[in-house]
Amino acid sequence: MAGLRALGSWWKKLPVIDRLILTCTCLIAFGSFGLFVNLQTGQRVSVYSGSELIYNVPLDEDSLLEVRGPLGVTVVKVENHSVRILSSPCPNKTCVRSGAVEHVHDLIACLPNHVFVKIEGEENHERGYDLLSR
Amino acid sequence: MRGAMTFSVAENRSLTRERRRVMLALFIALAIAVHTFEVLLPNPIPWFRIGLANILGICALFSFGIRALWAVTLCRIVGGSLLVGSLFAPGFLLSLGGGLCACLLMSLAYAAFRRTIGPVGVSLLGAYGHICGQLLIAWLVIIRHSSLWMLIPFFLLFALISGTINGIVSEFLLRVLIRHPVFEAVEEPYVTALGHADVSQSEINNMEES
Repeated sequence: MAGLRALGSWWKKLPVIDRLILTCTCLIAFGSFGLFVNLQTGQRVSVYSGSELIYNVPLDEDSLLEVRGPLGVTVVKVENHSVRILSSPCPNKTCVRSGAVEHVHDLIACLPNHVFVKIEGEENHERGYDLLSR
Repeated sequence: MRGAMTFSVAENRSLTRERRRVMLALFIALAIAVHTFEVLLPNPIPWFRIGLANILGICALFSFGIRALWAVTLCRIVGGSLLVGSLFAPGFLLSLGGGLCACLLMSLAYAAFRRTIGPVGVSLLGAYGHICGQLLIAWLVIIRHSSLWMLIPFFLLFALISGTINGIVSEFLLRVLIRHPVFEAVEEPYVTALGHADVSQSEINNMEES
């Protein structure tokens, strides 16, 4: 309560221009969260081994994918509109611990085994497909 | 008699000017020290800087005017990166871009609303300008990836908090500094010294000419 009162008296002592700037910057900061952070759920999952695309499957169909990398087989599971790495032959298991992802542009990588799991929106997938077909 | 009086006034002016110079040098030295300290702080995310060194810039702006702000900021960025060893590295470009943008916004605001704007407002504008400059440089020179835009809200929120805190700290510092005889021309922190500085500077020039 005392803190609130102190804040109030500080606000009253602040010059008018400062108050205006503070309000505007607050609005910009909080407004930008709505503008720039689009937590759009993805449509498709792309699994790469190195730079080679191995799988491109829809995110809303459950599936179990196996990718061969330099160290062995990494198992990727698509379930409940999210994707995670079930197991990987890497030493530190960072990829397994990074859990499930579901938003566009999210990425899980198993660097030792060169496996990358990427979530894409529908339009990204189509553009990628056009590039492949050329 | 009259001649002697003028002489003493002129001497007083040159004393004020010398004091200003010394004070500005102290500001720059302190800004470089704070800048270096900030680089050494453990930093979870590489671009998040509290911008503590900007406190000195704001103090220079409010006590000696816009040119002092530019002098302190530019000298701090070059001197600080020279000290840390990142001169002309990508990090240097980032802080230079941020610093230039911040200075530009701060001096524009100060020139437009002089006598009515306070340190908090200037500091907030500086923090936002810093972000704009950094993102611009990052976009132009280092990465062109759409995920850069995802970071903007977090940067802005951080700038909001750090800018406000820096503004409050500079206000306190200005209140303390104002008691020193060097700043006797400045009556209140908000009443800008720029007006006084300009007047006395032009008077000094007139005296030197005549």
